[in-house]
Amino acid sequence: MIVAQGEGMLYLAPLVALLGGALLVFSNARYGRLLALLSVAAAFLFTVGIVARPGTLLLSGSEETGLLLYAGGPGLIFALLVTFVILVSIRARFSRREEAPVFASTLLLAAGGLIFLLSHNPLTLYLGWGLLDLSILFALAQGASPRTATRAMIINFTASLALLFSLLGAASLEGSPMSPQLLALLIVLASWVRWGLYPVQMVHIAAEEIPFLSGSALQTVTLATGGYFLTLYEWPRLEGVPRAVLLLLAGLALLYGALSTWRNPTGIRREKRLCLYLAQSQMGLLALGLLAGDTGGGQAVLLLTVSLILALSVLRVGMEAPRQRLVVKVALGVGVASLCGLPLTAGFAARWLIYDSLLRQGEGLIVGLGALSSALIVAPLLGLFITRGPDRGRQGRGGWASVATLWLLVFPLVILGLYPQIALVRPEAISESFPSLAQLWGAPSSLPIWAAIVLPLLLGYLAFSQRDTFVRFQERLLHRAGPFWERFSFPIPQGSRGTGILSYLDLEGLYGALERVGAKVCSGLRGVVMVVEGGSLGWLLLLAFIVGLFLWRG
Amino acid sequence: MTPLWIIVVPWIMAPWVYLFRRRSTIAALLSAGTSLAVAVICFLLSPDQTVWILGRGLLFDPWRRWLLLFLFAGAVLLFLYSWHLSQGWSFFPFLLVTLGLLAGSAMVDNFLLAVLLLELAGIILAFLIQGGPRADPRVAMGYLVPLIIAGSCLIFSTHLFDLVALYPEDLASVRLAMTTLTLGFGILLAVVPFHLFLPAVTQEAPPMVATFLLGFYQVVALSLMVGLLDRQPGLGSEAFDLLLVAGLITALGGGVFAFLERAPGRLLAYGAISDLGLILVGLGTASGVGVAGAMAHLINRSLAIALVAMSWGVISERYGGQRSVMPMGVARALPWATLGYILGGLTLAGFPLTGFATRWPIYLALLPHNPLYTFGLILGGLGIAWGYLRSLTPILGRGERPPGGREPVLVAMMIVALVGTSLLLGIYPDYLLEPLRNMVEGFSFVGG
Amino acid sequence: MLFSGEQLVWGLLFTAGLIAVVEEWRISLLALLIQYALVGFLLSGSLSPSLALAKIATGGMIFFILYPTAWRGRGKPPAKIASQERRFATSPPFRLVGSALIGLVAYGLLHQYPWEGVPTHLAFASNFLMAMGLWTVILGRGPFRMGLGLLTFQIGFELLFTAWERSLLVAGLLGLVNILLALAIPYLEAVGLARRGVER
Repeated sequence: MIVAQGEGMLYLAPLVALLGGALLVFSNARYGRLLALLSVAAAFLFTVGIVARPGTLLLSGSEETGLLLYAGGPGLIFALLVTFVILVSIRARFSRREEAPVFASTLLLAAGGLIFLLSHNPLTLYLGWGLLDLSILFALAQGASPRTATRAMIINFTASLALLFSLLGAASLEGSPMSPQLLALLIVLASWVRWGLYPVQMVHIAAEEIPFLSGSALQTVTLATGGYFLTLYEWPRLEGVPRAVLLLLAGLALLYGALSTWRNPTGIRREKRLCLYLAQSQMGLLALGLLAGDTGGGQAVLLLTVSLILALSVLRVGMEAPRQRLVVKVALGVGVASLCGLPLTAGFAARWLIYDSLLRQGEGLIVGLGALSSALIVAPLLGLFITRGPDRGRQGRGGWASVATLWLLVFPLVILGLYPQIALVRPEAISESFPSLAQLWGAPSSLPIWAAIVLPLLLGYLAFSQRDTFVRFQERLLHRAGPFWERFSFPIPQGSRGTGILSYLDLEGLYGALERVGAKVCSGLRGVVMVVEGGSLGWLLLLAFIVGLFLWRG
Repeated sequence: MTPLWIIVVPWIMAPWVYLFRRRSTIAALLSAGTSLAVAVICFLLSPDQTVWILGRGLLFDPWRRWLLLFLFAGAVLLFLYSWHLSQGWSFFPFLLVTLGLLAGSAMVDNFLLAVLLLELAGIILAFLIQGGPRADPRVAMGYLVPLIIAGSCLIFSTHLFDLVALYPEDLASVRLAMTTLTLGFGILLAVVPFHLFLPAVTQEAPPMVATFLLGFYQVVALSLMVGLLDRQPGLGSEAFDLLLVAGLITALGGGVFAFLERAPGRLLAYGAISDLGLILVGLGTASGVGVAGAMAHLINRSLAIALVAMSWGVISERYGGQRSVMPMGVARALPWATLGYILGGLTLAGFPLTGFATRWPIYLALLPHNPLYTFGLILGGLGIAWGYLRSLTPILGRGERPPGGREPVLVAMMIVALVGTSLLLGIYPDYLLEPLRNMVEGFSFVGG
Repeated sequence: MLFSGEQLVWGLLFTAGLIAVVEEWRISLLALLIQYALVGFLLSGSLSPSLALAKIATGGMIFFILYPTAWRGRGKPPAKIASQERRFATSPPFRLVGSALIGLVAYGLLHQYPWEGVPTHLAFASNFLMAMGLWTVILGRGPFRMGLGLLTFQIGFELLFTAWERSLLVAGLLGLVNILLALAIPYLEAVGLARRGVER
């Protein structure tokens, strides 16, 4: 082990704490909660210590081709965030009965995320990807639907090959065996998958299916590692990437998240999906911003991801807390405000950067789309903390401890809203494009951005009030188109109000159809293989070929 | 103490183990103890010895020392596994005899005798493959026939090498020797398209027998081939080109077949076949990095095969001998076996944390030849990965508890130990690569 | 010698053809025994008499190893299985025609690749035995028939190889291969019979 700079053992300490904690939880289920809490607390403290002493750690080999960890930069910020959020989540669930495997999977997810976030060259990143996937697999085994888990793992493994190709390119003396454009495209797709952006959002779907703690950790780690991957490879600088296609996909993600949030009926069960849809719409907005403009070279990625992780964590923890209390409502309100990009919250700065860059590039349409998506999500978000009368399902559990835990997540949202440069690697970059609050009031050029942020609040109510109209329209459409649709064996989406046609957005039908076709093709080919391999047909053919070869060559 | 003990001790113990074959505890402990003792002998014996028997030399050099250590140490694991999960009453004594024959084949300094001993070991394996009345005897027969043909081809090639030695300008003999060698080793190592017998064998045979065949028997066969390449420089660069092409076809073909497959036994076979292709590619590069990577991957492959077979063996046995498909809900019922199965399969596929470490040197060595070949190897791994990850759907689903209960403690510990070893090798491959790199530098065909 | 080399070779061709074409187990087994005897006589000219006798003795041992299992399997399989196994590819005319074709291929290969240091009649016999052995394996429906084909193949191969390699050790090991093979065949056949539930 060679330490280039800094304290070597300290950089491994959070990982050791988390992995050791996972082992201890497995072996001592009775004290699982306490062990998990202590382990994550230790990891968080060590990470804080690393912030004070950044540096690199070379575990083996050379810097280009060995295992290199870098404790600094955006990776460290994300690492700090991940450990913090998971620590708070465990504390929030401390009074509940969770099984030991849930705690263990949470710790493993944190460890996997950390190793990825501290990786500093493609080889270490590739290995970190492997550990992360392994920990994700363990988390998915806690209750995700088998199909979703299988899809997620297959897509993750396939996407990791992009890193392998980039490794090969770096290693080849004759230059990359692959064209730079193709490699850039593969890297973008890999980061798309790592981030869990629509249409490969399986990991986020699975996060909603597994227990709260693992699901929260999974979504947090996915967002953080995806965000880190984006900052590492700097999307705007990847030349030759077919931007039109990616813009379309990003736009779809934005609309998918927003429309799905809008159509989602209220209710405890459906609230869990909110975090999935909200994440998709926010990530879609960020992707649009990155692809269409040059938003401070990763500053927006960092800010938006940090604010998104914090805000979603507030929602998750808040949904479990007693929502009839005012302090909980206020906390949820701050989370909602950050997701909507309102001032004095962390989401505001990120959204400002994105809109500002887009308007400078002349992409007003995308800003409009962003505003529309905000309009669609406002009312369902407000529905989270508006309770009418005694609502047992929303009363939640936990006393002052859970409320205090919730506010531990809210404070950073507010602090980052007032001082966003804390979270940034290069604070001077943001001060150029992000004027002070006093300047914002008076500047006419900021008017479109203010409009894009504030108007959705008003439009949101209008959009939500039209849901019933849409549902009636949908029912009439399905009634007329149903027989025709069924002739092609496409299932008619059945469900409660507002879930019909828009449920196709989840792409469950498309993936299912692809799997069915694939299974049929594989089954047919497998039959051919079995016929050739079974019995003597294959050997007969081989023998005839070899004898024929001998006779011909003679 | 002479290297002869390595061959003789297992044969001496085999009849005693046969007497206790119906008492698995005694048989397992005796067999495992014998293997362990021989492994210790291998470790303690000083290398670079030669023993003369009937005018033939038995070599014990550093290369053979580590090969035999690997063989007998691995056998200990197989015997311990079979203690709790029976592999057939004939498993313990017959495997000891086979080990002795393989040790003789590895050490004898005469290619003809080595092939004959290998063939004898292979025929005994047929009894183990059958393993009782459950399997279809046509499978064992389907294994025997190619084995005899392969053995005949290799035996014939020895005569051709004698001719080549007498008449080096006789190109026809050289070509015929290459052809017979290709056929012989192609069948023994189950190179595509000579692999036809292997999937059925792996599917029907007891798991530890399949492990021994894929992970140990083929290793000895491969070492024979490497030894031949070392001693016969007259084969020229054509041999290595052939290795490259055959390896690539095997890696890709195995990956494609693995992608199509659902039966766990057959999936293991295709994964092993594809990985063997990778090893042949590494040898075909004839470079220090490539050959060392190939040798390291050979060990990693055997580990992965053992892991998958052990895990699948537990699952199959606990679910009443179910072998054709993965039962539903295995993850909840048998978590350690599930972990071993998935991780072992992903190791065969070249998963970043485990199998990738020993694949990487081969990729690097192959790049100067033709970068497209590397894509072929990667695609082969992808096929294996998809094949194994598809099993997640039944594994994570909901199903009935297995009638046989949880994994035996010893087996679970062995699976965890193998998982740990695999992860360790994946993170610190240099512990394996560096000593192998020094060892392969001694081969005459290894270039820069 | 009672018979000349060519006559012995014709005898080998006949016995190999008999094994491939005729399914009756007594005839096949007897043909195999005669094959070993003929090979022993053929090689007695070039090998030491003890080695030639060892080859014949090996053949005898193999005969007695295979006989009990063949006798056990003399019963007919259940009608259901028999009807599944009745196929054109295993009918006598097909086997006869196929054997003739295989013979032609063996003859063709002999002229393309003449074996050095081996008399032509021996080389042809060897080629023919190996080819017929493989043909019998391909046609075989069970371990016993496939085993006969395999042993025929081995005989052909040893006939050829013994012309080049006369070491006692090698001959002994080759004999051991044959013995082990002969032990494996009845074991697998017995398992097959048990699974098929043969009627006596």
